[in-house]
Amino acid sequence: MLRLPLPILLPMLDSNADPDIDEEIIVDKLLYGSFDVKAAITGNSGATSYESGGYGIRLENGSLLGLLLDAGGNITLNRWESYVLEIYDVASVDLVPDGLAGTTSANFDVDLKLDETAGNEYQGDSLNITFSFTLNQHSSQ
Amino acid sequence: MSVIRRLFLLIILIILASGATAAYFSDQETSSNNKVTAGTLEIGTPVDIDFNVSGAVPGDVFTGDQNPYDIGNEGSVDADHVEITVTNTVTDVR
Repeated sequence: MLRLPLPILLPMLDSNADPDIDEEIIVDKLLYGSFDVKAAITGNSGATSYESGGYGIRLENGSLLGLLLDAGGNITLNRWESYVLEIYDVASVDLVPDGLAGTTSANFDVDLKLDETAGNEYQGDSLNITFSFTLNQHSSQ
Repeated sequence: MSVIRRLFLLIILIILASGATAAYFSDQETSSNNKVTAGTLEIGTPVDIDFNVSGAVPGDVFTGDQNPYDIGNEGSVDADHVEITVTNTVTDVR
């Protein structure tokens, strides 16, 4: 008879109980062109997508936008690291996705902030951040 | 007419007849200037956003030196959407 070992479940223990500083680095401004991505996320936390002014946002896995927010309603880099944020162009007439025209551009404008509530446990901590951008082909081509 | 002469004439007629039916007009052109090149999706020249912050205290706001970052599509193919991800590397000293 085959005997399988029973899994031993242990709580996930962080070797360093001190929280990571990326939980306290919040997005203070997030613009894609003229589209205020930060406002779109914080104002529509209960939705899986939001479209306005010709642009739309969603998370790649279809989760609620609010999962990017901490308990204080801020977008933290710690939360963002767990999700892929997608920004897409929306045809203003019929809301059918329409690709960003080739050879056009839009600017990604981000400001970060060390949260006012960050405590002494973060003194001396540092954070290296990498933003990665991926453009994807329009499905009609 | 002798038998040999009749056979000869018959052979000549057969050859002429077969030659007439074997001739076909034809024409051929070659189109060689064909090329397939894949389109491109190309983000504009990568520029570091360059957040270089030291001595930060709670409440400080950081703006990258190269803000805003141009993520325009310089390729020939339209892009449906842009995906933005964040990777954090934390150094915890306390």
